[in-house]
Amino acid sequence: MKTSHLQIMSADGMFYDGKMMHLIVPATDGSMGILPGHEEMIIALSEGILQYQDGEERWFKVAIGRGALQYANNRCTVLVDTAERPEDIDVNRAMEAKRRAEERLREKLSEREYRNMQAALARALTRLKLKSSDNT
Amino acid sequence: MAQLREIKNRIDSIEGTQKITSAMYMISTTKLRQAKISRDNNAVYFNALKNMLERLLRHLPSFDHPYLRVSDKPKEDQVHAYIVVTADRGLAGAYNLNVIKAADKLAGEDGGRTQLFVVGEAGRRYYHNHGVKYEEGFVYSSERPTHARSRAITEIVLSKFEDGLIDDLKIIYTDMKSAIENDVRVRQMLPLVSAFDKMKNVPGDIYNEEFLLSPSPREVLNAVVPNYLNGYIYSALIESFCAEQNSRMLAMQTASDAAVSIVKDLSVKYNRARQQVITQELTEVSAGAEAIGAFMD
Repeated sequence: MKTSHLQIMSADGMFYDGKMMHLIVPATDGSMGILPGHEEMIIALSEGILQYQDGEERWFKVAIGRGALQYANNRCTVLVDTAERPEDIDVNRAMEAKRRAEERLREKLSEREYRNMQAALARALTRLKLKSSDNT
Repeated sequence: MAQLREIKNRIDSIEGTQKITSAMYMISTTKLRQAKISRDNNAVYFNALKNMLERLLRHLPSFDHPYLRVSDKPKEDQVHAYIVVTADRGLAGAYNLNVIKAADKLAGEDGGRTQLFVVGEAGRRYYHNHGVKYEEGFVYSSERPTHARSRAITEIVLSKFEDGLIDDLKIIYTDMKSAIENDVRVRQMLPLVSAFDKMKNVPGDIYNEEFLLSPSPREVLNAVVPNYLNGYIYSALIESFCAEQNSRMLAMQTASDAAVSIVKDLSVKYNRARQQVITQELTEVSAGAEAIGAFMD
């Protein structure tokens, strides 16, 4: 099987650096699958669950924050502000963040605050979703 | 006797100060070590981000986007915003003053109107004492930078820029060049066109053949630019924090050394004075004995 190189970087440093056989990312306009040898591109990513298959055909799931993906010369670089594996996610914290965001969204907010709170809610929901899919 | 006690008191007080300065030195060393780790972790991400943005701007078709727009207001009406990164505390040599001086110089050169976003208590205190106006609600500490803090800062400046309240944004921070040298740096952050001036010469209409920008160039810029700014601000904060600890280490080292040499001088003085007192007492005793002896005869 063909492989390409995948690097996932978050603000805390390198998250994954290795081979990739299949990648599914949450683009801003829906999920997108990427196989080795893809056309060169830069796409925007939204909060969501990223899945990749490493060189040994194992699937991994990662909760990511906003960012972008660049595919060039058969190398894929994912730059996001946060990246977490299911085992690193603190359910209680995510629940708390979700509750807080929902509460704030009910208040009268400026357009910007509203967007921020929605983003925070999306982050919390992504974490919870990944955690619950991990347990089943 | 009075002089003796005076010298003793001074020695004690200087030794006390020395204890404090060497403790502060140790604290700065530890903080610097921790800060360097986060700096190195961040460097990988930030360099990749910078490369991506450069590539993006190179392949961008010529189109209008708020982040690329250079202000067309008359020069004297333009509002120049500066993020000035200072320390929370003093006692770090010329660290704070160097940043503030650079900011003042820059504001003088740019002309127009100035808006200051000051990070760190020391900088705010300086501007307050000198009657310079700065953004009051902007109260961020420079101690142990976090992503949450840099994100909040990005949020504020970006919204001001998007709303047209500021026309450009520069950041003034300190770079730790080496263990003994700090360098004040100035970087333009917004609008992006001037931040990446050299890209202007590359024709913008070749993107379609090379890069697919999905869903649209605008969306991609919207996703990348805030992250880039956040990354830049975080890097500047962490770099400044390293430089601050470094300056403080040097300042405290110098202070401790000075304390040692003062204590050395004072102990010589103290011993001499003590010797003098003893000699004087001896002279008095022997003179007394002689006087008594002379009387007995």
